[in-house]
Amino acid sequence: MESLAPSAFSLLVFPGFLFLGAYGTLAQWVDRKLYARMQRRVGPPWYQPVADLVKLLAKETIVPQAADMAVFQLLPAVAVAAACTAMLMVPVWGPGAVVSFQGDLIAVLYLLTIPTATFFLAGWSSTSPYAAVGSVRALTQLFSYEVPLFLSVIGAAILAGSLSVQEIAAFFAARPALLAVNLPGLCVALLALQGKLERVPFDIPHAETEVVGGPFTEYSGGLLALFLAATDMEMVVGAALISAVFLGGSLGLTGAAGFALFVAKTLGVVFILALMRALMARIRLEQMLGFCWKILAPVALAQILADILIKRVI
Amino acid sequence: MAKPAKMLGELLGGLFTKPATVLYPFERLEVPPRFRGRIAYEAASCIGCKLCMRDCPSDAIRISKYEGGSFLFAFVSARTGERKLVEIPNNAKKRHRARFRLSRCIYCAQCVESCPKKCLRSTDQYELAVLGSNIKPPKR
Repeated sequence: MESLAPSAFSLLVFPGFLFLGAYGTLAQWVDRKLYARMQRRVGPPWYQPVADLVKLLAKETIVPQAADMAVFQLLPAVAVAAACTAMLMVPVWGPGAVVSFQGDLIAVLYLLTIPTATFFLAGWSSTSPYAAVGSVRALTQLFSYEVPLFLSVIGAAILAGSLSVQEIAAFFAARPALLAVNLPGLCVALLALQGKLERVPFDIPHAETEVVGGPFTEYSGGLLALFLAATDMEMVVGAALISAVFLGGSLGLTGAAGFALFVAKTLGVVFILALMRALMARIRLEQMLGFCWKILAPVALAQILADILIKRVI
Repeated sequence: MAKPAKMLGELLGGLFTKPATVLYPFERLEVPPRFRGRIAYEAASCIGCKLCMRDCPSDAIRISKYEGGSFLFAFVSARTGERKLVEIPNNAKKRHRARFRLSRCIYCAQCVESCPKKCLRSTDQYELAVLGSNIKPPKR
């Protein structure tokens, strides 16, 4: 049971807040640099995300008069906390996660939903028309990508016969050939993750040309910095989850080699996400709903069916 | 979104080619030939026909005459704030002067085309923004 009690160190330093924040910053830079290079631009220097953060922290934080003061200021912290907590259940180096229990996969998925919920509440409590429209879009979008994401992850869980991220990673590390079975699920999960992170082509909630900044319209200064950091952290946790569930995690390696593999796999996922961002233009909300429910969800269901059949065979 | 991955090859190729852009304040692209930048004026050959003034679509250029001999220049002493008029002898050949309002100029170089004596020409200067006015009001 001691594994269920994470220390303050693992929550605040590694793999929690500090590590996740630093790695999220790096992942954001890698994403922006790749995006720029694909568009044949030079791209930002490595310290650009840090400079952006410092700039935002130095700016004045304005809370709208009509907004609920407490909720408005608390929500960014809740988003960051949810991402940090989710990271505890995903293996970082070696096959073990800080916290592991049967069903932590479900816990991770739900913790990763909390940032989106805070985006909605943030927009709603801002009392701005742009923020309200953006937050309603965020919530509508949530119902389209969440189901395919859950279904695709559950497919891998069925094949591994476990609902623990750590055990799923260990199962696939022992039988790498079975990873190929989950390839359609991997594609579904990557697309759903792109939707979860609200990035192009699924950046409908904060489409700048239509609804200014969406839920973040009224946010500024430190609070906005926290929200953006939460998005970066969510990207890392999502990439780590995909690497653990669909790519075999650390493949049994521990220590520095395991960590190097973790970095390689998460940055690989970030590369694919950046490629998607560069490849496509924003689609409309109803197009996204149609795409997620008519294409992603059936593929994920077929994936589950295939997993059940293969589970019978082996 | 008929073919969402149409640009894939282009994008991946971009990763391995030199960027098309440069880090501007540190590196500069060469200005193309016949670039229309800031207008340069050569007073010595100006005959004061004011064709440039007539043709200028944004009323950005003014040619005015120097009344022969010398002209007076007002200086303000920084220490005492006293105004002093200084007489400066006129350049024998210089009979006209041009004033450009760079905030109005659209850099069409029509004045360069119109000038019969070729005393106006386009230069390759394009960094014309300044942080503050160089003209300081006299201290009191």
